[in-house]
Amino acid sequence: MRSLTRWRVGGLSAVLLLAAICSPTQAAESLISAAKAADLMLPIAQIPTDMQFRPDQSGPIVAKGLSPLIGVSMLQTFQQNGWLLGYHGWLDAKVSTNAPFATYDIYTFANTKGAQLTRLAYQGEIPGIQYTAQVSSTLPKSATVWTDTGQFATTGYYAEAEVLFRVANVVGDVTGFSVATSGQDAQAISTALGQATEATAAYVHWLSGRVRAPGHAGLPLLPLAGLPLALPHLRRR
Amino acid sequence: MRCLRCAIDYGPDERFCERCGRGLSHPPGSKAAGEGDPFSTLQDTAFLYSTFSPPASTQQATATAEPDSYSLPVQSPPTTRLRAQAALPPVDRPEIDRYETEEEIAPPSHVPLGIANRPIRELGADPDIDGDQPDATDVLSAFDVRSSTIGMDVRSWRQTAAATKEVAGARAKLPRLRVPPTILVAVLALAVVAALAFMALGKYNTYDKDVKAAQTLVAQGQYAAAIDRYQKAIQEWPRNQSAKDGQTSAQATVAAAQAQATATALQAQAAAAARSQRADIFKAWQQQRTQAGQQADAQASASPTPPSGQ
Repeated sequence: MRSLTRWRVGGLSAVLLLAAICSPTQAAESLISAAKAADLMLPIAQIPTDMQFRPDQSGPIVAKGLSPLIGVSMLQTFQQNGWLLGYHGWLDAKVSTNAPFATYDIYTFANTKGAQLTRLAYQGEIPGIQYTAQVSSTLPKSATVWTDTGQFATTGYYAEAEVLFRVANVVGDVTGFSVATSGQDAQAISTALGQATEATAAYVHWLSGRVRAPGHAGLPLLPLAGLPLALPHLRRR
Repeated sequence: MRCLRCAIDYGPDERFCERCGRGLSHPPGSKAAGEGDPFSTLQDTAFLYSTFSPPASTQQATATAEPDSYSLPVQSPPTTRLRAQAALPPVDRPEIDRYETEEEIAPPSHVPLGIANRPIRELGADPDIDGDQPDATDVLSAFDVRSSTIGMDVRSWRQTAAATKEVAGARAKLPRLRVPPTILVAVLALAVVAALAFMALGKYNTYDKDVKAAQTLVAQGQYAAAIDRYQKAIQEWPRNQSAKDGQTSAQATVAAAQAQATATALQAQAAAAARSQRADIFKAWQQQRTQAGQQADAQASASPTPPSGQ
């Protein structure tokens, strides 16, 4: 009987220890919750110091506004993968030379799988050239970068760099812009890439703090829960 | 009847003035001349008023009526007044000069109350027509003023010189304060130095007051007024280094503020331009992205399988 009890206690401790070991895996698949679109806004405190938030150009993303930008079929993909909320933010660089700035479009999905599928579908639609070189170690592993140029106001050129990333159930599309002197202005592309990278790093850093999995924090202490049961048997021995 | 000289009225029977002995005249508006009165004619009256000679025109007619004792007066030497007149420059007197010709002399009948109708030339020789015009001393005596009182006689002048000498003598007798010249010079120099020091002190006070006022203006941020005040202080006092320093500092502050304002304005202008460019860029990017979405939709409708993830 004693040995049976001893085995019971030992088995329970082993199970709890296994659960604690497995808990990081549980955390990677945890979700980022947002009750409303404004919860996806990068807080002012998290904004890089050389940037400033433009609330007049920021706001929630709704299907009606998103449809012309990504197309009806891509919107259907979003909705099929469990798209919940979206937020469009605008960050101006404090310097005025070449008018650099960045925008971020953040989408939350019901689960991580939906976010993964949506990111893969959406990246096929992004115009421009994929940037294969290592951009920054601050970007998440899922980050993919594209660069492109365009014309504005009939005479001006601009360069843009777009970073697509995913953290848990959140997909982010951060784009940096800069005025270019021509259609192939490497300096302007670099500036735009810097804007996008800086904004992405700040946002990912903030998102990482919001990732949570219920019960995860107490799992490593679970083996200690069987200690009161094991102590009487250890004294008898 | 009336004495025209003494202005004394007499009865109608009186012929001569009791005071001066001259003939009386009819008062204006009284009985006409020549009515039974040998002295009532104008000629007669003129004769009576003429001291020296009867009128030439009536000399023959009245020769019989003249008393035997009448004789032409001896022409007296010119009086002091006449001598003074001769010494004076001629005066332009057109009214009088006009009558200096014998032809223009007014007729005797027009001369009122027996004024002598003799030529002016004769009057000029002796204007004292009735011998009644006294000389200067007579005038003074008439006013009962002694000539010596107002210094018009020679004796009084001589006495004044003597008195002056007396005063000078009295002054010489007074005890004199003996002051060495060096002390006098030193006192004078001290006085000059004191005056200069007083003036300098006043100027320095003004300078100091202006400097402090300028500093107050600087503290209040009124740099333009402060610079003007410093400039005023610099002109007031030669040792004005503090004012110059203050003015330089204020000018530097103004220049810095102006540069800052210019930079701020330029920065705001650049920021506005950048903001406009950003809006244009984003608008262009949205259009590009819309075209990409439309192309994706076109491809999706063309292909049987919907776009799917990895």
